[in-house]
Amino acid sequence: MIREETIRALKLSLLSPNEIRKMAVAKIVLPQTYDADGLPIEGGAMDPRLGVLEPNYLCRTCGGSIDACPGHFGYIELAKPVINVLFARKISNTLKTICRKCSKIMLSENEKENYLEKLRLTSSPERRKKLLKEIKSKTMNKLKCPHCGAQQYKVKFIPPYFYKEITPKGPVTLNPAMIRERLENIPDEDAYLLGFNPEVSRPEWTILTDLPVPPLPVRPSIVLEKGGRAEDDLTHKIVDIIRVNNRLREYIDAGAPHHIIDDAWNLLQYHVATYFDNNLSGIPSAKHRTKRPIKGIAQRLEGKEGRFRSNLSGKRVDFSARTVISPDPLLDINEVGVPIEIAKVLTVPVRVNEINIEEMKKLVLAGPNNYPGVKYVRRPDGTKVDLRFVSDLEAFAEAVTPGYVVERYLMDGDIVLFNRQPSLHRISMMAHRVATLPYKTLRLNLMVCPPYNADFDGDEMNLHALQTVDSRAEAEELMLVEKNIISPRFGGALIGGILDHISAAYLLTKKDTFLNRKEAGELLASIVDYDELPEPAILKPVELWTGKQIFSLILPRDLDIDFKASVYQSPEEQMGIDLKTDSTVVIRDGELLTGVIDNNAFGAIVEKKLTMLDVITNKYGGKTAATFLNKLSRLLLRYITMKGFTLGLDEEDLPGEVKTRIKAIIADGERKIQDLIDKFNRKELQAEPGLTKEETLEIFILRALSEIRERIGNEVSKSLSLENSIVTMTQTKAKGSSINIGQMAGSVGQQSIRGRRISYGYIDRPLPHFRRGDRGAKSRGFVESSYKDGLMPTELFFHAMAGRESLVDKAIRTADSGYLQRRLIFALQDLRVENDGTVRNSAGEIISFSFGDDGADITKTYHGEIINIDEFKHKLERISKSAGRKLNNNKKRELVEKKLRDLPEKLRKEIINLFKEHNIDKGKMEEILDEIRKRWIQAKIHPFEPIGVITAQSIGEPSTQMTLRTFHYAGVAEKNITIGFPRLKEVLDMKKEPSTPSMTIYLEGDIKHDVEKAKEIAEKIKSLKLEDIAEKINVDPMEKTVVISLNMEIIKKKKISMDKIAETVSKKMKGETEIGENYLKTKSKIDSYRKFKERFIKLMNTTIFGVKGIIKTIVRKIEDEYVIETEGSNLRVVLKMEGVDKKRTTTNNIYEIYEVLGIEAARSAIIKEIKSILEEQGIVIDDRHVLLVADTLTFSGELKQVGRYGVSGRKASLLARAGYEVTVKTLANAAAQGEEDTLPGVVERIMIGVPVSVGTGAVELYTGEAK
Amino acid sequence: MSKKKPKFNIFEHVLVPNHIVLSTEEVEKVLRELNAARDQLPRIKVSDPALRNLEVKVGDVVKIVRESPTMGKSIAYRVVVE
Repeated sequence: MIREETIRALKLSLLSPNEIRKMAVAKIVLPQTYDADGLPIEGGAMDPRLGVLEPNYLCRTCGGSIDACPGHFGYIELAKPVINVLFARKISNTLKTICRKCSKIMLSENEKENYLEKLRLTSSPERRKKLLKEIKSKTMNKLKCPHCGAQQYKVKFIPPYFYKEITPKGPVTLNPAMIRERLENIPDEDAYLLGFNPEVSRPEWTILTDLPVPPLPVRPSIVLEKGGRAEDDLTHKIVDIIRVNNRLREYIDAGAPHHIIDDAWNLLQYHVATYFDNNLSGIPSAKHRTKRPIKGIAQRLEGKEGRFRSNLSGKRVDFSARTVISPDPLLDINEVGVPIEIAKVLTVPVRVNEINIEEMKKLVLAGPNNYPGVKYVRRPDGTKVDLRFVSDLEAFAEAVTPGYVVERYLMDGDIVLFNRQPSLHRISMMAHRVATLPYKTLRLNLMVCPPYNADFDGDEMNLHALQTVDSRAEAEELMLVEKNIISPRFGGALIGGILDHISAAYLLTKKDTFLNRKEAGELLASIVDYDELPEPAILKPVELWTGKQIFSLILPRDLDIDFKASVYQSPEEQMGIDLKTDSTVVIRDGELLTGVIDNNAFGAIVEKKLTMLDVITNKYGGKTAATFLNKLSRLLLRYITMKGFTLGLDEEDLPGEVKTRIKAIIADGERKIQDLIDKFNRKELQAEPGLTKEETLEIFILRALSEIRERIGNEVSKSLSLENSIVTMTQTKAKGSSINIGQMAGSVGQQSIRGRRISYGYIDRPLPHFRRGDRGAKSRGFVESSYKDGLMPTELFFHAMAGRESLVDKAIRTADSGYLQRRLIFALQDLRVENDGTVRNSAGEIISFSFGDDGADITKTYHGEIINIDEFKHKLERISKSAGRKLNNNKKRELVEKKLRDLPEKLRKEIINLFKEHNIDKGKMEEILDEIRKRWIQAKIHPFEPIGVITAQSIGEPSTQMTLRTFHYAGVAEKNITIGFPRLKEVLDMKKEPSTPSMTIYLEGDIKHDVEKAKEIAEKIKSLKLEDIAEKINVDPMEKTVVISLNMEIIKKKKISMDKIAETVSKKMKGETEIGENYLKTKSKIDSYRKFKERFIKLMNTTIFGVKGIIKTIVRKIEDEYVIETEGSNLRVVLKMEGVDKKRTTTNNIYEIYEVLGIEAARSAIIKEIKSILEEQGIVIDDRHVLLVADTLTFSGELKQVGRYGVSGRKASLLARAGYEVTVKTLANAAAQGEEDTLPGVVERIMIGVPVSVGTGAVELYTGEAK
Repeated sequence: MSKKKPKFNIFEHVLVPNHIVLSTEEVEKVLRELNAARDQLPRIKVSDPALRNLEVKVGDVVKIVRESPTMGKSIAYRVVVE
């Protein structure tokens, strides 16, 4: 019988031999499976009592059919006990901590009581773990039992399952029977201290005396096409176990010699061990005859293809479709074009009621072979009717009454989910309305491409038809495209114009675009939902409308906004209102007065500027924004097809004189490089500090080369104007950059591998076309040609090399960032906003007191700002003209302070300043302040928002775009700093030491303005090892003497005392040191040569002078002061040095900050560090996300990494932990401890199949009459 | 290295926000407002350098006044643990 219940909790424990027998329905004794007739043998591995094998049979045990019978366990009685490998290590730890005689834990009664009390009191699994570890280390390897006084011997564990006791007489093997005996005698009380919960999991149950045989449905056999059966791996394994077990029993019964019995026993142990886990180190894995390794139980669960990750945390679904996508600019952004062929397969259940009954009857009548139509009908009694087999549809349709459920085909307007993988953020899956279309592709509006990251070079996408009213309502309210225009990552529009949208808008709205009545009418009609044409801008000789007039038709009526278009370049070019580029946009009352519309107005994913689209979406809501975008989409399509927009080869042509100039620039550059090389060859080149001469030369050459590219780029862009199609595209930010133009028209430039010029290949040259040792531009990958001219063979080769690198880089990057994303999601998934605004994890621990401190929902902000001051500026400008009794500034300030008390001070100041500039009366001002207040409150994030997942996605998704290139040379290769993705990983991994530790040392008082003083301190900080100050070292290993000739120059310069050095040497080498004029002579008293050598190497690495760990110092001017930057870090020491600013000096080693300045400082440092990584990479992530990550890493009082050993490892749910990285070990340990999982978080609930604990899953909707 | 070791107060460091020990009444008020048990608060180790100059014991709650990119200033609490 199967009962339906909701699982509320799940508890793991060990099975006792008794339980194994009790739950078994059959004792399995025979190694044979089927008899001659092919029927399963009773007592064999495929015993018919264990479940139904084939359809149409009934279960011998429960009478259920193949669908109803879940199967039943059997058991094997083992002739001798064997170790359960999953607990082998735990057994080892237990043996080491209990007395070999009395089996009591080797703690005094006092200690025992103490720990028991502590364990009882703690509820946190993390604390428990720590306590158990402490107990373990306290009791391990004691020599005498504190209870019975028995002498103890060391127990040696030889993985995977052997144990030896090292007795004075020599090592003695402990067999499972002996071990079991010891474990049996452990008192219950002591078991708790050993990490067992003896109520449900006695320690001795880790040693098997009986083995459960899993039910048949767990290991189904497959009927092969050519007849015969193929058995499951587990069945094979069980057969092996039975066979060996029987043999062992025979030997024992026959009284066979010990070694024979032991061999068989060992073999049984091997089979049982590999049955559980066939991936044990130390023993060969069990194989099939085909040499394919057998899948053990552990292998079924573990890893990406295992049960946990593949079937429990992710599930397959029905009612889905997938095919190639293509663009359709005439669809609304909320729509998805679905081929009829697909719509004719997917169904939606509709409950028949009084209102829809006629419609439903019509559909039923249409039957399963027509569209629209119905596939199945479910009667109120639950029977399902397949309409393909209904002969009289008319009669059937008549019989449909309210209460029937009709599974009709997908129709226009249905809500479906649409998704493109990789689903890196929540907007990778949005709800669309169905628009059925001919042909075979799924279609979407081009403006929705950016959030999906979709293009049409063969991309496929998935569609899911929603099956319940609740899910459709939820999808429509929360997931519809128009509700997701603003990114939760940075608070700007993700959906908006791309590519030709931008070019077209620019062409339409630029100053010299005039349209006659026919054209204007055509454009007007394209909008579909249009007003009338306005008065033409020009009446005579013919009526002409400006593009701006047409564009204004689709703007919201009362929109006031000013901003700079993308084509805006610099203030110099501006000159009042710039006449040339028309880049200052002014919109009043929804009328585009000046300026062109381009990327800065409605581009998708404009991270760094607040666009008009952002303002429209936020101010008027998603619906208005969607309407605007739909109209815009159609209007721009019509305009650009009407006008035409193309790009010709001749557009990359440069005038003759420009070409000559470019030639000259290249020649000049190459000459400069040659000069450098000559200088280097004459050995006149001065090496930069910390670099070799070769490196210095390379850097100078690279500089010269990038100068060439820059100059060419300038020449090219100077000679091309906005009339040029490419320039139109780059300047409006539709596509491409000036570098692309430069490469097409001017010169492709330097190709590089790992950030360096190409230098390997043949001996002393990259290709045989060059002279050996040639360091010139052309022979090291400088591509002089332009793409248009075409590349020379050598150039092409270099270009291909660089191209290959970027492909490889991309492949690695996606894998790396995918894993980071997975870890982030796991670490943060349970965090949610509570009703009180705090952010808590599934254990109810407070991670953050308010999300992002202000508790704002980023999708309701203007790029993170809750209040858009500009909006109110425009409002005030209007009001100011008709103000009544004007308020004075003090009154204004008072009013703001009173009404907007909760707002941050900085914002209040801005608001006060805004009001100061405008005249206003009290009533109006209060009205506006109330409006601001309202916006502030409306922007608050909703309770149960799964903010952890949103943050994880917001960091993970853009990390794909980060460069993998590790190093970054600040200025002239002064220091090497890890940046970008690897650095982000380092911070989130909470590495104890970064790969490139570095300090920024600020200086105190006047010293900071004094270069010389700064350099002096820098010199003091830089560490010198003994080997750095030694000129020559003579070691006599026979005499054990060391003679160190010292570099007296350094010693004098740094004022190092010889005595001190001598002292160090004496101490390290254990001997007397004789101090000479410029040498030290030590005679060591160490006997062993090996030790002497070790000591000597250590001595050489001893820091004699400066701050230990700091390898290099550089004095740099930052703004008006001198700052010391270092390679290597030692915050504790540097902060104690004279002249160092103790307030600002910092390091990139977060762990060090934690140790020296505490957890809160570490939190601040993490925030700073992540922000600087992102900024350097040009990636915009809202500060609130960074705060949440920093809070997650630090809330426990110590630094926790994003991953198994940190945040994810201390989760309350055992299922969540098992589903993450080390599945079987987690489960085994949980079973021993009798751990309970109350399903507090997200994944564990998904695994079980209950609604998740965040978002709409955390609330319930009750309907009914009010009491 | 210089022989003089001027003492430095880590609270002066820009990265270290102000830590203030709360009285019993204040703690109760905070916990009530947050509807949280003491062990649900973020934690700080009693050995934390930032607590060195404060008289705290395990179980105390410290109030931390942080700088905030969104609010200018923000207040957080941490319970002192072993």
